[in-house]
Amino acid sequence: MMRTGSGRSRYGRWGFLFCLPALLFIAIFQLYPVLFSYFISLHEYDLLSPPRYVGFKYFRGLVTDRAFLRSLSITITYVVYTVVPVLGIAFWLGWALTKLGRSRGAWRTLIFLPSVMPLVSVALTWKLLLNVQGPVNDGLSALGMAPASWLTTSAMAPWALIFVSWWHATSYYTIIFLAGFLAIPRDHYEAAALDGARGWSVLRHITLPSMKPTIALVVVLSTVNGLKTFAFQQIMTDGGPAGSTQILTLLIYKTSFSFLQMGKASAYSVILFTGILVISLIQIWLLRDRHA
Amino acid sequence: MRKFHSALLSWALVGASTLALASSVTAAELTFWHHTYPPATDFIAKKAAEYTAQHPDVTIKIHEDPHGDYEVKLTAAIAAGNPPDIINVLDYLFPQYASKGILAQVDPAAFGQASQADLEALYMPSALSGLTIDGKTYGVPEEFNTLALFLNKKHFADIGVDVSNPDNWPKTWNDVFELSKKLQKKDDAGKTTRLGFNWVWNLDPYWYAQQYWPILVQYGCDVVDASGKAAINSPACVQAFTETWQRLITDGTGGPELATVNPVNALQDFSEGRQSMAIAGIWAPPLYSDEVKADYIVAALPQRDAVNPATLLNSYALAVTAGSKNQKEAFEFLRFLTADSDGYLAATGYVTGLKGWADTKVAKETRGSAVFAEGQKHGSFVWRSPTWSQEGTAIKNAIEQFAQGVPVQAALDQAAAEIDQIRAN
Repeated sequence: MMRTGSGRSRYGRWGFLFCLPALLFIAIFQLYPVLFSYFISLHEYDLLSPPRYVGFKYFRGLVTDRAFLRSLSITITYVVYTVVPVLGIAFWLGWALTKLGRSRGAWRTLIFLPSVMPLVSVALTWKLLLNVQGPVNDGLSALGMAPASWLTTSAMAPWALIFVSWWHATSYYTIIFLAGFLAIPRDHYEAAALDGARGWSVLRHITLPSMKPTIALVVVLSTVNGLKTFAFQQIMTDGGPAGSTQILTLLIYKTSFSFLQMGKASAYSVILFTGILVISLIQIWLLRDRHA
Repeated sequence: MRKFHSALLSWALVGASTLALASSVTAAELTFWHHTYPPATDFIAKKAAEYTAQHPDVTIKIHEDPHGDYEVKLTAAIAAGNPPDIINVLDYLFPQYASKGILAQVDPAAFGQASQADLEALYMPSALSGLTIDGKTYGVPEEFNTLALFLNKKHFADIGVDVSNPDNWPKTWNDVFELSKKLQKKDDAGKTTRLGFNWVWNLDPYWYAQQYWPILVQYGCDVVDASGKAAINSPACVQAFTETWQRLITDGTGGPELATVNPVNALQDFSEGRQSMAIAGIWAPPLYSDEVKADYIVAALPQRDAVNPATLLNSYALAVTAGSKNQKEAFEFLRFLTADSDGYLAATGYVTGLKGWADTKVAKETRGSAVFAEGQKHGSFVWRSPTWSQEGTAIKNAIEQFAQGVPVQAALDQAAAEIDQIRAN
């Protein structure tokens, strides 16, 4: 049945009206803050007096800004050492879950549990567990090993946080990988088995190509989430000791609300936002399905 | 007759509305923001209820957040154009807040005084100096603090030292560290079960500054020199930190790994009887456990040169915001609240800084009040800077570096470079 032009336009108007609340929400609570952040990054602004235009002063200063460069390095290290192992562990766990029989539901629930726990509770619990006089060190002592200063030395604290991030992030991505594995048609494997394919060959020619969109999704999500992470560092170490766990988001928070330098903090945010955008686009392009 | 009733009713309604309007115009709800310190907020709530009973048109709503979060939320509220009427501000933030026009100048008349000079005469010398910028006073002390060394009498008795006798108090920093070795206890597995002494660790930069400032002054160390350039890496500063902060680490008797961290009670280890000595103000005892309350002694802060003693002055002050629509009522309530110097001291351990605070019966019954009163004569406020928080963070990071084995000079060189960069920007 053909629709008239006026009918299409009527549907269009209704469609627009139905979308309007969501569009307004996005415009007010997402687009406006992002644009305002760009605006403020060009101003000196301490929250307490009106913004003063300073052009690209804060962006020019970034190359010699010790705090920013150190935080950037800490953030990159954190993301690399979080994303890569989490990808591997979650992929393996997701695959292992497909092999389980009757207890699969219970294992899925158990593995997904860390993701549904409030981040603040998780961070506080790990902070207590990793205390020098805490249960983890008690366990090590019981095994005859020396206790470690997990959160109070610059050498250990970044690794302790990376480990906690593995524990927390793996659960979420495992479930995504599991969904991906379960979506691969069984007949692909049956056909491969008839052709004599086994083990590594099946993984390489059936599983990995079929999982490519899921892997792309997880890589992008885990990288973005890694770059945006805040709660563990803020609660467990507050960026210490000696600034060794001060990731970019924490530096942005302190620069804005403790040091009242909203312009500089916005410049950091713009760089972080641009970084996330560029890295995500590159990852999506590299992992795109070339046959689609 | 019916018309008469209608007219009467109308007049009654108009009268009632006018009364309601009048009461709504004069009634004031004062919002009072304070950092979390239960003894203080409980005391303020009690005084607020008393004040409202005397002035039914004024009510006081108290809001609290832990130190650190408190300053962040306060800034956000002010920026949003919704400042509380009364705020609790640390003295080092006064230059920043006053320069931004956040604080209302104290009205001497609200304190029953004719002039600024009369207002100053109510307080001990220096009590208002940390709250006065360019001759204008922007707050009154809720606490006018100095520091002392708290000792656990029972722990000292364990090593055969009777600290009830002031002659046995540690007099120098070296005394503190040597005693610390004797007081430290470990279990069979080598785990420390009792500390002799420790600095505060893993808290915000001002907590660190409260502890190192007296030492820096005693050693003649300036954070910045007269030209505004960082001097925290000078030989005097390196010596100060090496002989005090780092000494405890190298002795193996203290450090971040042995400290319990609690932003609401920075002295938790001493408060719960796991530490024998701690540097604190007169505000600390209300947080001690009953057992520690029974056993503590207040000793004078150790000195490098007993003839020229030096300690810290600090003030968690009360101020009225410039944006308050109830400034008159707010100042009047502050006068009512802070005038109860004895009540404050008994309930919270705070010294309001009013002249003669140490001469009252309550003060004389307060352990250590004479030590604190003496300390107030030799103290100074931490250095003043609009970028204090960043500079304090740079020094905190340096301390945390040499606590992990980085040479003191190298850590302080880095702090100095950061301070210079902060100031250049």
